[in-house]
Amino acid sequence: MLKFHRLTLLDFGPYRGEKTLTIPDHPGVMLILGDNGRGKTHLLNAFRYALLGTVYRRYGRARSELRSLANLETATAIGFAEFSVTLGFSKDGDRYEVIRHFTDRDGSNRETLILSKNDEPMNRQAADLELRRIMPEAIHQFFLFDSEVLQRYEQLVDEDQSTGEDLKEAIERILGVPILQNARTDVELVAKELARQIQIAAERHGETARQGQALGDLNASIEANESSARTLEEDIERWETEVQDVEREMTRHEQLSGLITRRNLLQEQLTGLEAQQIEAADQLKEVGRDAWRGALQPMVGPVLAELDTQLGRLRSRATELAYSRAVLTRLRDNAELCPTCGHSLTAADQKDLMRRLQSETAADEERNAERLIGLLEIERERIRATAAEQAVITAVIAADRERRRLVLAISDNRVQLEEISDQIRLAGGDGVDLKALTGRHSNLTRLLDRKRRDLGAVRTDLEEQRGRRAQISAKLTRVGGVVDPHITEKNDLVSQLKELFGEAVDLYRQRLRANVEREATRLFLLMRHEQSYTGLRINARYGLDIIYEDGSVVTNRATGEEQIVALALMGALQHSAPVQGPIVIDMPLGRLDQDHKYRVIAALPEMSEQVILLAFEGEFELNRARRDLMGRLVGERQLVRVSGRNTDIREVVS
Amino acid sequence: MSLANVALTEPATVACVRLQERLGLREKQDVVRLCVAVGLRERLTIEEPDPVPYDGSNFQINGLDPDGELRRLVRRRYSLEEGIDETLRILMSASVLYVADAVDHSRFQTLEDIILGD
Repeated sequence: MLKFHRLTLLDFGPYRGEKTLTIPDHPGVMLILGDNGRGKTHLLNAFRYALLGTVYRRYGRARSELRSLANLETATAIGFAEFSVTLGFSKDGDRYEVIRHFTDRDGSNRETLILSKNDEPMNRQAADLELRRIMPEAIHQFFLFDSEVLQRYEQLVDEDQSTGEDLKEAIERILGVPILQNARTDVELVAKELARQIQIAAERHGETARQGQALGDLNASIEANESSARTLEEDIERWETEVQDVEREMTRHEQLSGLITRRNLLQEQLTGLEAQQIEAADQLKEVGRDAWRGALQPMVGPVLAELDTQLGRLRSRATELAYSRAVLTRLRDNAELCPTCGHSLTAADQKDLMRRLQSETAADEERNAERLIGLLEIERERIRATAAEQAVITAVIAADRERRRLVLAISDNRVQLEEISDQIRLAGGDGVDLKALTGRHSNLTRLLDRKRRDLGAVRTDLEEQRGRRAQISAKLTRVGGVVDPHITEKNDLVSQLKELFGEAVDLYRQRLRANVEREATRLFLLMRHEQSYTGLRINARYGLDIIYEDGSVVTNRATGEEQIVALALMGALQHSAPVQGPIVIDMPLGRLDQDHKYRVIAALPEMSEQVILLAFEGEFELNRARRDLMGRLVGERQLVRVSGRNTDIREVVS
Repeated sequence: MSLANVALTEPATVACVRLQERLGLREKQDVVRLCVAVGLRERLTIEEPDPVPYDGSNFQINGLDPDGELRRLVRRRYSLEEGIDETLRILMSASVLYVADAVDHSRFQTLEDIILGD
C-alpha cells in the first residue's frame, strides 16, 4: 500500500522558505490544526501537486494557475514566482521521492519533475508513468479530498444520470473493474485474430477452402452478434439503473403519500381543534362573567362571620331592650305600688314614677336595634349571594382548563404540521405524479424485458454459431497440415478465457458492491448514532441509501447524515480497492453536530491506516478528540502564523 | 362624592387589555370586576393612584357594579374617608396592576390560579 513519510514545501502558498511535515510511520490519525487562511488547503494541494502535478482551487472547477501557488513574500523579494514540493513515500516495499519544482519568470514558466525509486532517479517519461500507476488521476479524489468532494458523493443517490455515471466510472476504476473489462476486451481481440488465422489457413488449402470460407462467414457473423450482445448488455445495464431510479422514486412517493395522509389528518384535526377552541372561548366568556364571584368566595366567609357577630350583639341588645320594655309595661300597669318594696305610693310618687317609665329612650333604642338587625340580615344575604356557588366556580375553571388544553393541542398540532410539511417539501412536495411514475416504470420494464429477450436470442445464436465454428475448426485441425497446432491450442485456451472473463466482470461487480455495502454500513454505524438505522444499501451507481429498522429507505436525510454516508463510502472504497493508501481530508466536519464530529473522528482510523485530518482550531474540543482517538492519534501539528504570508508547521506536544 | 363614571389609570388600562387577552374574558369590565374581587380578597393596600380625569372614563359605576355588590364589600373592607365610589375607583387600578404583575411574575399562571388564590 501507498504510505506518505515526509512532505517538504519550499515557498509554496503561505509556507515561506522551507517547511517540512514529517508523517509518523505507525498507523493512525495525524491532526493538523490551523485557523482559516493558514494553509490547510495548500497542504492538501501540495500532496495533489506532488503526485499529479496539478492542484484544484475548487474541486471540479478550474484548476489553479500554478504561479499563484508561489509564496508572495518570496516572489516579491526575488522578483519571480518559484516553489517546489517534495514528497517522500513508499509503495509495496519500494521507496520513492518525488520533487516538483516550478518557476515563472518574465511570463514563461518551467516545471521540473524528479522521481527517485529506491534512490535511483528515473527519466521524465518513466517518472510520469510510474506516478500515474501509483496514483491515477481519476482515483486521487478517494485519497485526497475535501468537503466539496464529499458533497459530490453525497449526491450519488439523487444525482442526474450523467454525473452519476461519471462517478460510477471513477469508483469502478478505484475498485479495479476496468482491469477485468480490459482483459475481456483483450481476450476477445486475440480470439478474433486466432479465428482469422484459422480461416486464412483453411482457405489456402483446396480441400478446406470451402470450410475456410464458411468459417470466415461464421466469424463475421459471430463478431456482429458479439457486438450486438455488448450493445444490448450496455443497454440493459443502463435500463436496469433507470428502473432502479424509478423504483426509488416510487418508494419515495409511497413514503410521501404516507406523509401527505398524515398531514391531511393533522389538518383535519387542527380544523376540529380550532372549532372547539372557538366554542371553548365562547363558553369561557359566558361563564367568565362570574369569575369575580369565584375570587370573592374565600373572603365571604370571614365577612359573614363578622356580620354574624355584629348581628348577635344586636340581637342580644334587642332582647334586653324587649325585656326592659316588658318590665316597664308591668310597672306602668301597677303604678300605685313601689316596684322595689311593694308599699303604696303617694300621688306625687306615682306621678314621678309614671314620668320616668314613659321615657321614649328605651323604645327608640329597641326599634333602632331591630331596624339594624333587619338591615344587616339583608346585607348578609346579599353578601352571601355575591360570592359564587361552587358549581359556578367549577364551571369557570373547567372552561379555562379546556381553553388552555386546546391552545396547547393546537400549538402542538401546528408544530407537527410544520415538521411534516418540511418533510413533504424535502421529499419533493405534493407534485409527484405517481401515475406518470408507474407508467414510466411499466414502459422501462417492458423495454428491459424486450432487451433481455433480444440478448437471450443473440446469445443462443452465438452459442449455436460458436458450436458450429468449433465443429468446423475441429474438422480443419483433423486435416493434417492445414492449421498450425499451436494456433489450435491457443484458440481452445482463448475460448475458455473468453467465457471466464465474460462471467467474471459481472460477478466481480456484484461482489464489490456487496463488499462496499458491508464496509460502508460498518463505518456508517460507527459514525452515526441513531438506533433506528440498520445500515446502508448500495445501488447500481454505488449510491448508498440509509435503511430504517422496518426495511424502508430513509428519504429525508439530514445534511450531516449525507456527509457521514459520503465518508462511509470513501472508507468502504478504500477497503475494497486493490489500490490502498493514505487519506488526507480537509475540513470534513463542517455540517456535523458536536456528538457526530467526535464519532467521525473516532472512526477515522477505520477508514485507512494513515489518515491526515486538516481542521480549523475550535472546530472541536481537542482534548475530547485526543481521548476519543486514544492510542490512534499518532501526531499533532499546528499551522502557526508568522506573518500574513508566512505559516510555520509546528509539532504539538500534548 | 358619588361618581357616575370611573376610569382606570393609563398603565392599568394597558394591563387590563393584556389580561383580557390572556384570560379570554369577554369584556374589560369582567377583567376589572375579577381584579377588584382579588384586591378585596387580598385586602390590597390602596393608595391614591395618579389622578385621572373622571369624565370620559371607561366604566360607569352602575355598569360595573349594578347591584352595589362590590361597593358593599368595599364598605366592609376599607375605611371610607374617600367615599365608596372613590375607594372603588382607586381599588380598580391598583387591583388590575396587582393581578397583571402577579401574572407577569407567574404567581398567577391561569384564571384558575386567580380565582382560587393561594
